[in-house]
Amino acid sequence: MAKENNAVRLKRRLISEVTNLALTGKLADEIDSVPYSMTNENWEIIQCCIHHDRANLRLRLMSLLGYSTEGMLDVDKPLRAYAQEALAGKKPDAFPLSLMSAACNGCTKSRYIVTNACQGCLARPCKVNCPKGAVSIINNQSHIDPELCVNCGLCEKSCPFHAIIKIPVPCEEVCPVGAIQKGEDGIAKIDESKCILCGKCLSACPFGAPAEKSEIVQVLSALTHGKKLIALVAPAAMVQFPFPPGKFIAALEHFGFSKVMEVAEAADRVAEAEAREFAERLHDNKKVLATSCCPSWVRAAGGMDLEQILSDTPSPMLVAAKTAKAQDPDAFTVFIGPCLAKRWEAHRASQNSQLVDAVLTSEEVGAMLMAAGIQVNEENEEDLAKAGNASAYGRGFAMTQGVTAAVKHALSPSAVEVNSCIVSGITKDTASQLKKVQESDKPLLIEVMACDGGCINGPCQLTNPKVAGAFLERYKAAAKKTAGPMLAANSAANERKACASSSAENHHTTASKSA
Amino acid sequence: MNQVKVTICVGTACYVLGGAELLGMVDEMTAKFGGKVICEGSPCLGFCKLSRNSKAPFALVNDKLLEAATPESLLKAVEEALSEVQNG
Repeated sequence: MAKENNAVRLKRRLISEVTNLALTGKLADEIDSVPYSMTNENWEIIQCCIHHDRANLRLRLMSLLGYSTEGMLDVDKPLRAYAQEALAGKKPDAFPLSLMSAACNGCTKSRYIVTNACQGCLARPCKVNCPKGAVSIINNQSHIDPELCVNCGLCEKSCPFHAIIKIPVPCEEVCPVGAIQKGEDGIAKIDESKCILCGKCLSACPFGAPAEKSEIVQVLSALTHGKKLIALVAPAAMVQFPFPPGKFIAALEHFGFSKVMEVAEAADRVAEAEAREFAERLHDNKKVLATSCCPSWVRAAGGMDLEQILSDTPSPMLVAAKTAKAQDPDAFTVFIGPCLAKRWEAHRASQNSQLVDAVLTSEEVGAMLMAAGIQVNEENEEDLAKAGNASAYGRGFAMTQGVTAAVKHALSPSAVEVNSCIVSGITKDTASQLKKVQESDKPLLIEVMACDGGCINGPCQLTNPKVAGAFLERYKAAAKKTAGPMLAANSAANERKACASSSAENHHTTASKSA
Repeated sequence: MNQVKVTICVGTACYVLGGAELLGMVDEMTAKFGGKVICEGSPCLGFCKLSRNSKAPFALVNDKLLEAATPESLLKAVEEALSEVQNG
C-alpha cells in the first residue's frame, strides 16, 4: 500500500511548522496560531467544519509536543503552555503512541454486507453455507442479519459474483496482537499492555488517529541551547534519501548535529555478541536463540511468553549510544530510525542510565530538514568513514535476513551447524509459529522483525521499502571494512554481558579507573 | 520529438511530502513505456517556495506542471502526453 497520503503529508507539514518555530525561538509565542495560518488558504475541510479541523490540528500539535491526546475533544489549555514545558526538556512518557479520539472516525464494527452485485441466484451458496442462518433473501437479494452474523466470512468466500464484501476496521485489522478495541461509542482505544508498538495502525488509519508522542521539540531545544548533539543513525535511516549516505550525514551536520555515528558499526558488535551468546547457550544445551534488536518483537515476546528465548544482548542503538556517551558524557544523543518502538526501548534503558536522550523517526528528520530548507543533494558528500567503520553485515541489519546473516557469519569459525527461522513481519500467527519452533532439538537461530521486510519497512519511514532496499545494497557495497563480525576463538564466558560496556571501557579507561 | 520527459522534483520538501513515492514509479514507467518516456529526478525546482501552502510534491511532464502529484496523477499525465505526441 502506498504510504503517501494526505494524513501523512499533514503530519509532515506540522512537524515542519513546529521545527521552523522552534529554530527561530518563536515556538511558545506562535504555536497557537498555526492551526489558523495553516487553514487560511487552500484548506480542504476534512471533518464537519473548519473549527473541528482546527481543534484536531491543535491536538496533533499537542502530540508533536509529546503529549497524549486520548479522550480529548480539544486542547485544555493554550498550546503555548505545553510548548514551554517541552522546550524546558519535559520528555513524553514511556509509551510513545496515543490514539487521538477526536480524529477517530468511530468506524462501525467490522462486518460483511451484501452489495447490489447480488444476482439472487438459484444456488444461493451464501444462504446454504451460513452456519448461523443469518442470510435471508429479501426482494430476490441476499440480506445478512447483523444480530445473527458472527463474521465468519463463509458467505463472502462462497459467492461466485463477489457480491458480499467485508467492511473492515483498518486499525483493528492490521493490529497483530489485538491491542485495539473500540469502546461503546465506537472510538478506538489502545491497550498499552498488549500493544507492541509495531506502528501498523499508524499507517493503516486513514483518519490519522493513532499519533506518536514526538520528541522533536526536546531535540530542537537542546540544539538551540548549544548542547552537543550526536546523531546515531540506524542503517535503515541512512538509506531514506535517494542520494549517497554521505550527503545525508552532511545534511544532519548542516542542521546542527555535531557528530553523526552509524549504528551499523555497533550492529557488527551485536552480531558478535549474539554469536557468543548462542555458542554459550549451546554449551548449556539450550538450542534456541532469538534476536533482540527489534524492540517491537521484544515487547511481543513478553506477551507470547517467549522471553526465555530472547537474546540478552543489547540492541545496536544502545551499544552505539553507550559508545557515544563514553566519548562525550555531556553529549545529547539522538537515535534516528524509521521505528516507533525504539522510543520505548530508549525510555526503558534510561531507567539504568541515560544513554539515548531522544529518538527521532526518519519521517521527522525528513520534515525537519525540509523546515530548515536543507537540500540533501546539494550537500558536499561526507566521507562515510567519519561516521563509523561498519561492515556490510552490520549495515544489513536494516533488512530481513540481515541479522541472521551477520550472526551466522560470526559463528562460521565455530563449525556449529545453525538452522534459522525468520519471521518477517509479526502477524496474528507469529505466536503459534514460534511456540512450535522453540522446541527445536537442533541449534536454531530465530530472527524476528516486527515489520515485513525489516526496518526499511518501518512505520515511520520516508521511502518506499523497495527503493530503500536498493539504496541499502549500495550502502552495504560502500563498506570499507571487509571483515564481517567474527566470533573470537577463545572468548571469555562473560564477555557477552560486557558487550554493552566494552566500548565504554575502551574509550574511557582513565575515567573508570579514577572512579 | 516523440519522447515524453518526466522531471520529478527531489528537493527535500517535495521528497518528504510524497516525491519518494513518485521516484518509486520510475522503474514501473520504464517497464511500461520503454524508451518513449524519459524520467529524471531534479534538484529543487523552486515551486515549493512560491506559497506557504504550496502543493508539493511537484513534477513536470514535458512542460506541464503537476501539483500535489501522486503516482496515479503522474501516470495519467504521462499517458495524456504520450497520446498527444502520437496524435499531434
